[in-house]
Amino acid sequence: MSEQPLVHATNLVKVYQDGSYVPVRALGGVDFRVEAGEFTAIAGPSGSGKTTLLNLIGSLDAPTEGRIEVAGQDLSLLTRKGRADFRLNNLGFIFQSHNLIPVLTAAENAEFSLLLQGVPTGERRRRVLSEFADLGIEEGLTRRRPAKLSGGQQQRVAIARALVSRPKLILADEPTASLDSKTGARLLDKMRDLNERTGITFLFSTHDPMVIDRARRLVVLRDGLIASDETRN
Amino acid sequence: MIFVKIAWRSIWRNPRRSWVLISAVAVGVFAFIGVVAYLDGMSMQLVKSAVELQGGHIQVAGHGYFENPAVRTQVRQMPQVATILKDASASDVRYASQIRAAGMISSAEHSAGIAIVGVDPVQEQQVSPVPSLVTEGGWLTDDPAAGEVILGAALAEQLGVRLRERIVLMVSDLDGAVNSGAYRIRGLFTTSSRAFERSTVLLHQEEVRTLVGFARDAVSTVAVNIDPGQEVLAVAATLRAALVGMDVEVLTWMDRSPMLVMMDRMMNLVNVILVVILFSAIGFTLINSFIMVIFERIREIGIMAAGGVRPGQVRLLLFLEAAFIVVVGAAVGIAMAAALITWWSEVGLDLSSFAEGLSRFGAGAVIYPRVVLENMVTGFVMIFVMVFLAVLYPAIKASRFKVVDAMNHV
Repeated sequence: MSEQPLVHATNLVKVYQDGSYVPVRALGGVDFRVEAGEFTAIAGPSGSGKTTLLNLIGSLDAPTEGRIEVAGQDLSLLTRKGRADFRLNNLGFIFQSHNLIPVLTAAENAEFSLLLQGVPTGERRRRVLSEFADLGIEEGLTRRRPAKLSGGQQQRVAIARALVSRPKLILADEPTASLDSKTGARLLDKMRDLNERTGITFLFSTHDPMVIDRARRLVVLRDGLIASDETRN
Repeated sequence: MIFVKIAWRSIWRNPRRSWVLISAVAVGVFAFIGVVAYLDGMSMQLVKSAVELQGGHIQVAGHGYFENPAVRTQVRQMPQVATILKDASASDVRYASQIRAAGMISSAEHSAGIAIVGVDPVQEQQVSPVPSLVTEGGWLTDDPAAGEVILGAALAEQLGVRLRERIVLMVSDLDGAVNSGAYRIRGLFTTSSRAFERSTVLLHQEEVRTLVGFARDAVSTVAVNIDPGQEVLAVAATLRAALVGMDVEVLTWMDRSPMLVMMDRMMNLVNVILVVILFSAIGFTLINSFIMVIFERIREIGIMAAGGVRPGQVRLLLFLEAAFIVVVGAAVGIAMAAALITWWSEVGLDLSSFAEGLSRFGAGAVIYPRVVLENMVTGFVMIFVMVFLAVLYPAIKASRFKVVDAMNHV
């Protein structure tokens, strides 16, 4: 392990209380590190805390207790605006489904983060088209809005959007859940290939065996705690 | 730029709702422009009437005449004043001198208190609309001994006299002696001001000079009119400086009619109040619709926030959507209002049923709406402020969603 991991979570506790009389302890004190360049899957049964852990690492939610550092940044020190900027410049997200902006075309969705970063038009277009080519998105689809794309095409556009700004870490929450197994396998292979070629760190939350099989590290959560942590070749 | 694109496309996701909002804004803008154009038209007619019938843009008179229009308060060196008026303001200034006195007019059956105004028939045509408002008979001739008068049709009706009949004028001269003269009615005029029509009799200045006993070079007032491009206050200041030592005062129409100035300022306030009332109602529709908009798009807002969109940019997005609705609504409203006002300003708005009340103020029974750009701009700035305030709450609410909750919203 290196001295400065990409993700360093210490004693993470997350208790949900909103709207329920009985507090739900989703994470019960998790210590977790992810090194740069990993291709890691967090698995476990429903309610084990996988998505919660991913949300905390992605600064989409705040822990009840504990501390998370991502890319050397203590997330608890960031303001709402600071967290948005942090996500923009360091993270990419791939969600289960329906995660594109419906009024933007495929190309506009993919270049969204680059636009926010102020990347010039020519550079933006070049990078988007390159990602689309890598992911097998045909040129004819670039001007289509999400409603006119299939589930697999939408998910590939979402992956392109996550990759195009070359983030340090991509957080993928059940990315294959809404895809058929053939499309899912192809996209996973593409992500693993990108991980190997570019060194971008991928962290999945999943219980899909296809993802688990391809992960080089498998962390299993159970009842909000790490039950096992296995590194594979 | 991307937010402009998202905002524009988003308003057409639910065209029916957007058109309802656009229609509400369009009707509000249409009503606002219509009412303001009407008020501005009336205001301009009142000012025009006050300026034209009551002494011109600028009036030169003896010191204290405005406070107490006594016959002894005079402009005593009219030839010198005339020279200064010509020199100080070049050819842009038109002027006419008057001798004014309070007197009595009598017909065979009736009499009435009136203002006797002695005018130079030629000069008067340059500053007063009355020569062109003679509806029966003709304007005064340049003969200083013709024994003719011009009076308002309303006064003629009150006295029971007709064209070419004789009336008698009585007036106190400078020594307090009562002088009188018999005159033939040469013309009858009609104006937008019934009060002016009932109280003013015009005749040749030299006849009044004889009647009242004014010296050869003395007059009561000098009415000065300027071209539309000139600033009244600037010309008045120039004249004031040039007439120093002549024992006269130079008053603009604003000095003489402070009520009209106050009314003009009131109109500006009315514009703002009108916008606040109209767009408060529309604002609640906007609040309601935008709350619906954000609840329909919570997940989308969450996804954008996850991707690095700042809370301020979420607010910006909603403000842009509201701005587009206002711009489209305003364009529709302006187009409707432009069509109405183009037609209206030709034919006028006939308010004959309220003519008596309006004529007391000097406005005619037919109001011709006018668009005053400054008032419209003030109104539109207010509309944008109102809409901004209406969208503020939904926008703040949207920007404060917890990202993870927003993304999981179904």
